[in-house]
Amino acid sequence: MASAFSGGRVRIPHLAAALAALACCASLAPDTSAQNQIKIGVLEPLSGPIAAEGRRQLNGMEIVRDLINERGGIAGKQLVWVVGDVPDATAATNEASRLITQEGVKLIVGTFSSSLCLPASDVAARNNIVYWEVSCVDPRFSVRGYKNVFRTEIDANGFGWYELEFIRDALPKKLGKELKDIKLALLSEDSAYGQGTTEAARKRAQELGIPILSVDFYNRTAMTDFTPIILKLKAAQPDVIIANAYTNDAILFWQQARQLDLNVKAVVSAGAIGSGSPDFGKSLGSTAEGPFSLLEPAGLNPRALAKQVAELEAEIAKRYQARYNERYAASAQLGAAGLWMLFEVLKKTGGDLSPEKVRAAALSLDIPVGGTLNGWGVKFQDNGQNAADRVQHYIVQWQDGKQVTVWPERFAVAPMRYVPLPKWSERK
Amino acid sequence: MAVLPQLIASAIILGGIYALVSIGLTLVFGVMRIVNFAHGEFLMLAMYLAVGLFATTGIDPYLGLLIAVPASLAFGSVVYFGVIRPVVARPHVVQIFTTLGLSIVLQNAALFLWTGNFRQLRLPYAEKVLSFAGAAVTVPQIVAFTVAAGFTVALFVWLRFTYLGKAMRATAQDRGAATLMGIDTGKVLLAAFLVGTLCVTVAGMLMAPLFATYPTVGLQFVLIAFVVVVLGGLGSAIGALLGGMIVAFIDVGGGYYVGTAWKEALYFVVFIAVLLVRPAGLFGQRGAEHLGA
Amino acid sequence: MTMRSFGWHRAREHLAAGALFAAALLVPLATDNLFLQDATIFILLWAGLAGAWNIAGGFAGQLSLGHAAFFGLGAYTSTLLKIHLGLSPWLGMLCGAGLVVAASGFIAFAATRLRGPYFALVTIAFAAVMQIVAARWYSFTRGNEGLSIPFDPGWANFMFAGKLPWTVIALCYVVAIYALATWIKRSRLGYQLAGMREDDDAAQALGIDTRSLKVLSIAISAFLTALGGTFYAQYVGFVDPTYVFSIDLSVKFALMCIIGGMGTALGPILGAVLITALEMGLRAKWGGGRSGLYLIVYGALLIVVVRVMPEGLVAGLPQTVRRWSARASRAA
Repeated sequence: MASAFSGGRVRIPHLAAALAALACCASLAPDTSAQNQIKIGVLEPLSGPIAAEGRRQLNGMEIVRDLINERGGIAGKQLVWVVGDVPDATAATNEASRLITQEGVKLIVGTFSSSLCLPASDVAARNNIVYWEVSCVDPRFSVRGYKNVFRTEIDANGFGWYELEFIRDALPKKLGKELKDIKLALLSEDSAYGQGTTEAARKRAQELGIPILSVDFYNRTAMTDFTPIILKLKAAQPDVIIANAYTNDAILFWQQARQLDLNVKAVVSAGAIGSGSPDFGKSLGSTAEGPFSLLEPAGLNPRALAKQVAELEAEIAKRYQARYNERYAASAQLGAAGLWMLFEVLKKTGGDLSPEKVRAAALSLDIPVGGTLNGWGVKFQDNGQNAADRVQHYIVQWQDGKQVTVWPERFAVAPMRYVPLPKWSERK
Repeated sequence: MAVLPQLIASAIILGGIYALVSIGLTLVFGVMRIVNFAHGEFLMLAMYLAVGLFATTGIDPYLGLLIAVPASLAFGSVVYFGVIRPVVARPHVVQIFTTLGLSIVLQNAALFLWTGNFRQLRLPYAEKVLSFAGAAVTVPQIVAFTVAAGFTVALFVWLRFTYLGKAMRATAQDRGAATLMGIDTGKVLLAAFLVGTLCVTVAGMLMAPLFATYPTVGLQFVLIAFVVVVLGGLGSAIGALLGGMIVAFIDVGGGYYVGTAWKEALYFVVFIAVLLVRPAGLFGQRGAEHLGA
Repeated sequence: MTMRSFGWHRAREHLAAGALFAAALLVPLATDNLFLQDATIFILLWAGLAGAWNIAGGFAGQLSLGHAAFFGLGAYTSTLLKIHLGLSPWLGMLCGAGLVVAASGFIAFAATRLRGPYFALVTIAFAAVMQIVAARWYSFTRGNEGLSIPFDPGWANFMFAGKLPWTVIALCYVVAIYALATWIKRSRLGYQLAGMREDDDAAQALGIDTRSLKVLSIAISAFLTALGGTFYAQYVGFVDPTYVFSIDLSVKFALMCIIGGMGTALGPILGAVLITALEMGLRAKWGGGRSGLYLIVYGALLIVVVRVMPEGLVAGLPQTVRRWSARASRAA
């Protein structure tokens, strides 16, 4: 039998191969950008398990970038970028270093998830490069004392908080019950996102005095059958389920809820995944009607927006649909809004990417809610975090195969339906 | 609705699905002694085939089996001659990394071609929920289970009573001796791989209406398949069915009585225990882990 | 092979290693290139981890695909001790390594009962269980959110602002493992391991205590892997179960060692250089484009290389060259 083990001999050719490989990496001389361009770096997970959302985020940013460039760029210069694929933390570290050194970028935008945004921003911050986060929600992001790290989106604590805010504000009237009589069950996938959001939701529910019947976590890759949980929920009979799921499990859960006849009055989720993902509606058709998702807005009441923002939203949505053949939603909106805010900042600095100028410009921005994309406002705090009360969040509902904004009422494009959710036996 | 009948029904159906996914793996692992880490990706490709077929031509996965069967044989042959056969006589380490490489290629080919979006096959006539002995089941579930059971029985009969089947079992026991007995082991290995690919392709087609399809969906099932195969015993069709049932009951029962957070830990622990105490599994040959190529 | 040619080859191996070490040290000293410095540190870290795997996988023939269990356990132990008790990560590293040696006893036990792919499967399951425990035990490990290590430079904190200290530490790690591997190969232990790996039953028949050998080699391998885990945690500043216990990592350790040449001291280092350079290069070239392309190339290369050169590049390349030139001369 052939042995796989060598006799331990080293040959010069392999050594040469190894050194050549090293030299190859090193000989990638740093790229100097052209004079009439502003070059930044973008990091997104484009491969691996969250590739779908990373890609959508990048798409949203591309639409905005092209719009910016068409309208004259930033201080007369075109915005260009280099993209790095960051499927895991090591890649985040490597790619951040590569973009800074080999590509010579002075500003990095990214990065979708907690395990990526923390290491990537560490690298940037320690090398005096501005880091602009558009979507990760880890609460630890803004407590590290960095002066040149910014985040346009609120953190997971905010998400959980908002889910309860919606329940507190909208459901008691519609259900004809008092808040303390609304029974809540929490069901969540167990990644950083699900855990953070659900823990925050649980805390707030306790503060509001809402009875919590159960909290269940599961691993979305290992979940092939929700029957046990659904049976338990049927016995417990909650009024509202907060279901923070990822997409494949959200689809399975909803299908099995129908099969096993689990009837609750409302289902709320958070984020651009799960029932908030366009794939949910595409996959389930008419069955998808009803769940609420805390999300970027699916249509905004133009009267709640500053005029040019309303036009901008419409234009971006149109172009996105045309170029990518799917609705402008969720992760794409986060990317677009984040990049637009950066644009506002860079307009003020005249295209200067130095940390001091960027920080000064960012902290000086004061845009009220409704004043920028997604109907958000901007007010960066000292730690680089956009103030929670400016980052308006919305509840979006699946109606007639589309996601529409239904809350807060001032921004809604359609009234809430299906509260309480009709029983499965009564649905078409 | 009573709890126990539903739990049992769900477990049985899930068990059938697990068995169907695992039968192919047990054949390949048992006869060829190759750990096919790309098994999950074969499943994924079959699911994409079902989704694509339905989306473009409206052919449902059951009718689509007529297309899937020859497609799987063709695909299996290409993979076998291109990737697997050159490493059949090589050390384990080479085989492991070959199938791992294949897994990476297939996963990312799917990502590249079809994006990471989640797709769900929805059969209009399958929306109906049926009631059976106090449990709610759907048509796709019943079909998946029936086919799984049928396949297992068919495979068992085939392995036991046909020449090729017996040749496979002999090769699984001891390849050297089988060659000495005049068996064309080259043909047997090819047949094992093709049958294995066929089984997992059928599994994928039947599972497409039940689970979302996405490039890494194979990961959801491949580890379970390994647990089932080890539990049931290499190369045993009946072992795959029973192993699938046991794992499904642990899955569903554990999910209900213990909680969903720790249930995978449960079947990994079972997996490790079986490997250490009785590696041959329920129906595998004792000492099989020491024999073979 | 004569004793003399053995000696000559050994000297060349040491020379090559020395050259690589010197080159690695030069990087933070002679250049400002952040990317190159970062890449060098990672290459050294992976080289050490591949070398650690080599002791169990290459020398002892125990093909583990679950070494991430040791890596992650080391990373988590030192990090948790630092966060909850304020313990210096240096001490935490030793605690983690000690804990890992205890845990490795389980794997060693499995090794005495299982061979080949069965053993590999147990190691995979072991790492998977660790991952599940780390992910579910939210109150202790913050579950899947992972642990973040605050940036607080200082030798006591095992945290540095510049790249030079990191490079030096990583270099010491690799050199120590290289020296260990060299010593093992030439020692009685090495010959016994070689005997066991080539044919376990024959070795036992000759009176070699294969059980103790397995326990020893796996313990050493696990210990060294855990040290690397702590280094990673400190350098990247972030640990989460999905990455540090992942099968991708386990595969990586094994892969680098195999590509470079199992059972040699230099092999893991060469393998680490090549695989890391390949990964980084592919990702830089194609990562930002259509999803998954560079991974398709990576996987395809994996299939080809492992088939064509199973002995690793350290020995495989000359054989392939000789085979092709022999074929060419025959055809002529």
